[in-house]
Amino acid sequence: MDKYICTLCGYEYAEEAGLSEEGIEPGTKWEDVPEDFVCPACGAPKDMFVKS
Amino acid sequence: MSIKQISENVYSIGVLNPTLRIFDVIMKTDYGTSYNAYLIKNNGKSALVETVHAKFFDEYLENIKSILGDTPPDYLIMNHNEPDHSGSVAKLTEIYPDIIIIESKAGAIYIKNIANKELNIKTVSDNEIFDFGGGELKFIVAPFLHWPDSMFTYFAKDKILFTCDFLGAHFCEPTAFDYNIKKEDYEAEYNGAFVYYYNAIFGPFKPYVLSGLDKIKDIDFETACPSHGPVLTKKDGGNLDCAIKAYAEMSAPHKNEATYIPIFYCTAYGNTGILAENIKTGIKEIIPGADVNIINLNMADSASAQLHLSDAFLIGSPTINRDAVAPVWELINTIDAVSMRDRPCAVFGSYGWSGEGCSNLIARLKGLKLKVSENPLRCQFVPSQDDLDAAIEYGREFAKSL
Repeated sequence: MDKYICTLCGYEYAEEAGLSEEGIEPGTKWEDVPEDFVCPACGAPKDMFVKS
Repeated sequence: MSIKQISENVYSIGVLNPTLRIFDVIMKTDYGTSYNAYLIKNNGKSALVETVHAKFFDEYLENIKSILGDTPPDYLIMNHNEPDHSGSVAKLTEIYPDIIIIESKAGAIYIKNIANKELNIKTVSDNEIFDFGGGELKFIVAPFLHWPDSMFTYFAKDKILFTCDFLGAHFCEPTAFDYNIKKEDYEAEYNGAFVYYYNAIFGPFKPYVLSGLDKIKDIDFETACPSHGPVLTKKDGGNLDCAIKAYAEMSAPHKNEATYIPIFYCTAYGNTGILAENIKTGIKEIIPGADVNIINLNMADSASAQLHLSDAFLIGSPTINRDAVAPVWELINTIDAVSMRDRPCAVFGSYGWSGEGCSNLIARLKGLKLKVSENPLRCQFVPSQDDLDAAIEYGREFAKSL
């Protein structure tokens, strides 16, 4: 499972953990995260994330 | 500002700040600014679009009450949450505790840390349509125009698009409308303020400007209500079509014909300068077609533009008083860290005693997240033949790394 990092603030999304407060189940692949996802720390859109 | 009716159902309720000369520390505002805010009424429902800078809350509230009387507004739409627009949210919700605040997802994160109180927030997504007194409000999420939270709001009934900072300008127009500017012969001043505003606010986000323009190209609007400067119209003397065209032109992608590698430097005794010449020789050996432009910062006035046009760059400074020199820092202060992220660069310089200039520059460029070489080219006092050879080799290695 991969991790993706927000290039604006450094927040990390781990596919293994998901993000339960946004309704994203553990194990959700990055490509399956909704397109309107925003960084929960700084609000950056999904396209600002890169694979870490 | 007294209120102005923009269309059948929309009013301008913002305030003018004509004496402001510096905005947010970094922008010059030769013509002051306006903190625009709007009120939409439709079949008994009312929505505010944006608030104003906290210092102007009383005037803003007076404007709201002059239209709504004692009836509380139903909604507050926050297209963007920078404090010049969101500064009055906390005070407003003391007066109108039941108001529903409409935010993008990112905006919902920001406003919590700006108002620092419990708020009644409704989050909207891109292209969401919201029933508003039987009419429709449509939200168009527009990230990085100019913050992650930015969105536009479309009120179809009156063909108005509320664009927040997009298409705005720091400019006071007391009548609120663009077509009145020309009559008063302030056209050149407004156009200058419009372009300056674009460069400062949207220059770092040109690809996002193009995608924003694409998102609104099929929207039927005749009026754009930005959050600073005049309302843009298609009427005689109006500027809306020109403004959109100008945004598209100013945001068009730039591609250098040849790899452009400017070498910026300052030099007190010519020592850092001659390193620049030799680095250029090394670069040209590896990339003969490269456009390597040596720029003496003490003589240049367009260095920042050249820096931003670069594919890669080098910067040289002597060390004086344990640091790089002021003209070099002034250039680095202009770096737009969004569009220049990961730009390859390297630093060099001659020094006399300790030579911290290069390491201080590297630390700063790393902090801005540019791709800076960890190994500077340094030389004590006057470059020897060995130092000049090392400079050529440094240029070769830098070119190979691109």
